[in-house]
Amino acid sequence: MDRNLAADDKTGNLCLVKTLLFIIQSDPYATSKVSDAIDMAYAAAVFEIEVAVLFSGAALSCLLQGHQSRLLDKKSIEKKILALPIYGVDELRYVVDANSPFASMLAGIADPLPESEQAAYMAGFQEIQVF
Amino acid sequence: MIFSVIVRAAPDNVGHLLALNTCEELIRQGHQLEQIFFYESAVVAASALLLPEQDELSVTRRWQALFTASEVPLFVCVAAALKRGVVNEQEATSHALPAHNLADGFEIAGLGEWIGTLQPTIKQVTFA
Repeated sequence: MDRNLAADDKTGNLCLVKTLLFIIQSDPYATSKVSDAIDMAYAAAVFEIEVAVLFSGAALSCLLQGHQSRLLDKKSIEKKILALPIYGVDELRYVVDANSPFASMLAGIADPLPESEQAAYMAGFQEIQVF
Repeated sequence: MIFSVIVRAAPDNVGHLLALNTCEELIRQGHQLEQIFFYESAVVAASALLLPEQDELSVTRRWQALFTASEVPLFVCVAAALKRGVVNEQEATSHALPAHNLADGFEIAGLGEWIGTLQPTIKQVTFA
């Protein structure tokens, strides 16, 4: 079913819903980009926008377990990602990159998306923000 | 057509200048610009203390001129602004900060202002 359509609570009729994909491709701690992206995702989800997050490239390390962000005096990106489902963001994906040094170590909080399916996946969203 | 613009690029990034030029052009062409939302490092453009080098343009002044001419709201994300030292009087008071520096014409706002424009009838344009 088209993710941009949902049944109206009262009438049961299909109606258009706003869908938003955040593509995160930045290193988790080099800048505040990942943190800013997640904050935006939280806010959108709270306002009942259908939100998904896709990690790729340098952002794959966001999904590793056991971040020691205290060493950098920064908030843990790992914890911020784990809080996404609390805000209603359940769809977390990562682009499978067999060449990534983390390929075999990614945590189970996101589902893999084959690189060959990435374009079709992105096409299913009305808005995309890239961080 | 109705547009809403998100500016995420820092003022010294060419993406920021592109956002400014685009917004000016949209207004010149008579399009409706719902709002301009500053996020990430773009919020620095809302600092009244930003002083570009001689011969370089002041993006702050150009945004202010755009606001004066069009009254399109210039919303600055509060969380992004606070962590980059861009503060209005109210936030300065509530966080016991010694000064405030939000330039005239800009308005501190939450992400809800941006989300309000996520509608099928409004075209979103992002400059990152």
